[in-house]
Amino acid sequence: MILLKRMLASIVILVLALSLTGCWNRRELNTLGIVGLVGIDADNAGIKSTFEIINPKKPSTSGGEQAEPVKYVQATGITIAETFREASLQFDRKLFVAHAKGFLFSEEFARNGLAEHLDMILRDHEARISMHLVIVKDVSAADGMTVASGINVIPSSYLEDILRQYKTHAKSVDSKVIDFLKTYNGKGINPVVTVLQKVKKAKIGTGKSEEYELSPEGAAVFLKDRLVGFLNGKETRGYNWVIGKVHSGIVVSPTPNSNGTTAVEILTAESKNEVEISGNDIKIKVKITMTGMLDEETTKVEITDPAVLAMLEQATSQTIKQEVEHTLLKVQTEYKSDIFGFGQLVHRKYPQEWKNMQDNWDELFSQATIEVEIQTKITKTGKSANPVPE
Amino acid sequence: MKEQKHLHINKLSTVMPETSHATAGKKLYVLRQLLIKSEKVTDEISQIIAKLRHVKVAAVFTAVAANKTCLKEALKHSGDITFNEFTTFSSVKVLIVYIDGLVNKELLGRDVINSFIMKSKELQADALLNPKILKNLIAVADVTETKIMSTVIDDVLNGNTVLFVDGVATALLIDSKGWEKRAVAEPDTESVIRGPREGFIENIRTNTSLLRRKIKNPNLVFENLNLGKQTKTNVAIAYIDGIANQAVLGEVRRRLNKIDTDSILETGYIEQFIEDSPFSPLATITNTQKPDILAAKLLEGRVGIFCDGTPHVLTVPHLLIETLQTSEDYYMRPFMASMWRIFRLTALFFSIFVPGLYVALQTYHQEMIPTILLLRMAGSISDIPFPAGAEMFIMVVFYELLRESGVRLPRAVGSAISIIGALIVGESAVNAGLVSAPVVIVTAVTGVAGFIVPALSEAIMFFRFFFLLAGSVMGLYGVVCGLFLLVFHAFSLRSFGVPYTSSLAPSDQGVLMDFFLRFPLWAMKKRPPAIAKDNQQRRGENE
Repeated sequence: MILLKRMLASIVILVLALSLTGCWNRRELNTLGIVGLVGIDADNAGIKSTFEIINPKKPSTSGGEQAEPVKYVQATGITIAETFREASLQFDRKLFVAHAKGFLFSEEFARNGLAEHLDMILRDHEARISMHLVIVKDVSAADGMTVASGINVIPSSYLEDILRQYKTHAKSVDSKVIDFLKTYNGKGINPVVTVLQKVKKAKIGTGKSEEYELSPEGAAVFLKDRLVGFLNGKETRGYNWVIGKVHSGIVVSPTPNSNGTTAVEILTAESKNEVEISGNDIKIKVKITMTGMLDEETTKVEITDPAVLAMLEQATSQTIKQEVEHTLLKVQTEYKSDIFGFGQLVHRKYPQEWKNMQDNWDELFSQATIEVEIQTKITKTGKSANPVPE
Repeated sequence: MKEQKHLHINKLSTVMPETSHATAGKKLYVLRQLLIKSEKVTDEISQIIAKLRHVKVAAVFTAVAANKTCLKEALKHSGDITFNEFTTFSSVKVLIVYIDGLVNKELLGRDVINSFIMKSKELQADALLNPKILKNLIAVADVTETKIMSTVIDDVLNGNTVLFVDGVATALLIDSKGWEKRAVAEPDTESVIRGPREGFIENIRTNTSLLRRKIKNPNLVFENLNLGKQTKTNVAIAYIDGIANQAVLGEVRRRLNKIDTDSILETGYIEQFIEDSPFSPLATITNTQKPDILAAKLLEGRVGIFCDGTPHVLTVPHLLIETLQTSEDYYMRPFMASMWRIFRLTALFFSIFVPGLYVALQTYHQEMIPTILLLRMAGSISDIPFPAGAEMFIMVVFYELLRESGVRLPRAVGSAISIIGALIVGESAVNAGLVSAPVVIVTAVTGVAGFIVPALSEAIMFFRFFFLLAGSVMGLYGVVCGLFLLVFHAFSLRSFGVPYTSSLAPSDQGVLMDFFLRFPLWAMKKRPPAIAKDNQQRRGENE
């Protein structure tokens, strides 16, 4: 009797608990259209969304023609959420966005402000805020998202892989939706977003190849949630130096006292930024420490000599300094947007003063004096001691 | 009178008075009386026999003939019971009774009959009336006297021989057991790579001797019992006095004595009568066929229950951890043993949860599957006509069918089943698009993993279906709910007063040395405290 009562009680509890769970739904996997990318352009009706839907590969039956790896479907609407449902008018499966790799916005769209359109991503239970956020330059988002010229034939996977390459060259940024949402209204910092452009592909050999390829070189600079301009590849690396996000790359500088060139591979790079306020004078110090490995030296120098190595380190530091200063100058004068987050340093160090500054910080930032100090250490010189003899 | 005498001179009756009508009539009357009396005696005897079946204290008769009748009645004139009567040189009647096939006839002829006749030759006739002297006439080690008929019957049924001497109201019970038995061999289900190959057989004495050979210790105790009103099965409780937990031992005795059944054919019968939670899928009593495993368990403080007629010996208390242990864990070096423990835990997890998790993830939580894997899965199930839950259920049931048929089939047909199973299910069903490849893979992994923890195989099968149902009806929520139920249930179980999950909870660091990892033998100084409460020190000094 007690056993029966207990069993009954536990069943009731479990059934009642069922009503407490959130949104869940039983859907068979073969009723879902797995969305890889979402491209969003402005349209007369409001928004035109283009969805890349991945066509799941069937287990390879011998021979047979390979089905298209992806399908595209386009829908228009006033909001992004609407376009998702509109798309089902032209597609046999329900769009499933949890596996989407990225949201692509056209440049035009971004210039009018992005924040309002990201709400759906934050609110919807399927969409993930860890998706890549990309601004497509020059062409429409729908155009930019169709290219896959690498090994991967699925554009979304190709895009994800190529964005991840930023660690090897530091000439692009890898921005997620969450990064944008954290910085677009945060005082003292402004978003920087990945840029994608379609570039003409060099024709190599006689084989068939795509005409275009994608390049994520550069970065999009935002002021609040509006796009204000772009950085090129080198400038982007300057930006990455300052925020300490250079993971690897090659620094090329002229070899002192000769017409040769020195290439140093970045092994580690760290940055330490400080602000100092005296009266109305805002002074920002950027200190970058880098260790590198000599990767290439085109002229004959005595590398085993510590003095020569110090000289090379000096030259490398100089190059980095130029890169960083150029970026800082361009951002300060042209975009007047604190993308480096110096404002947050002020907030932390001078909380009282910050209260007066926060509203026009970006203006103040553009007038601040910035001091850059670079320390380079070449710790390795590679497999050979001296350069190849001439 | 004289005339009369002369008159009757020719009458036969005058010459032979016995033939006279009256005498004959009298004699017939007496005979009739005798017949009535003998009928009464027969009645009495059968009443006595009827009494014998209920009352244990019916005495052995003095006369051999009475004993013979009595036993014949008691044993229902069964064909396999042999009554062998012989007389000594001094013309004393002797009766031996045994069951053909249960006794060693060579021993019976040489050491009982021959020895009795030869040795009694030199004795006075009246010496044969003394049971003490009679005992010496038999050249068998184990001879006992009894005056109780029911003991005689029990002993005869157990394979002993009983010897009655005319004029003596004592029966001699001679241990002359000798019947066909299987050789001690390696059990099929508990084969090992390293370790002893011997296993228990169907004879309880051989089994206890196998254990005794492992533990040569006066503290190893066997307590004999008889269970089953019809079968009178010999059962023995085995334990090591001083190590075994007295509370557990007392509980075992109490529960065994309470068993009220007509038959015990296997230890499985006993198990079902004395287990703690008969409705739980988790067993709280385990069994083994190997003396070395039993010895190890007794040395940890457990109690063993032998039963005549089966090689499976029960051990209690049974804990969760025992399902993950094998004897080889202790014969191997600790590194490998620990790795195998972890593999076994993984296998346990796989075989219970994977079908349920697969269905839950595939039908409710597609966002949790890595993209590339999801695309693969989506590709392979795109044309499958069944919902994922149904598909998985069909495959798991089919697997169970294959497995069961593999066990039941004659060995020669077994390969046919495996071909059909592998080809039809593995190849054709996938090619025909009836089931998807991932489901076949999941079933295969589940099936293979299930064999790694054989002690839990029944529970695994039950929980596999349980979690599959939970996963396909309610997704991960269902699986987690099920997991809660499982954990609550497992932690509430007790085996003879010992918590089923002890060493995990209630936890004990000493015992965790032998749970997820198997520490070196020299590090495990203590016996599991939950079992061996009173004497925990295995080696080394007391701390």
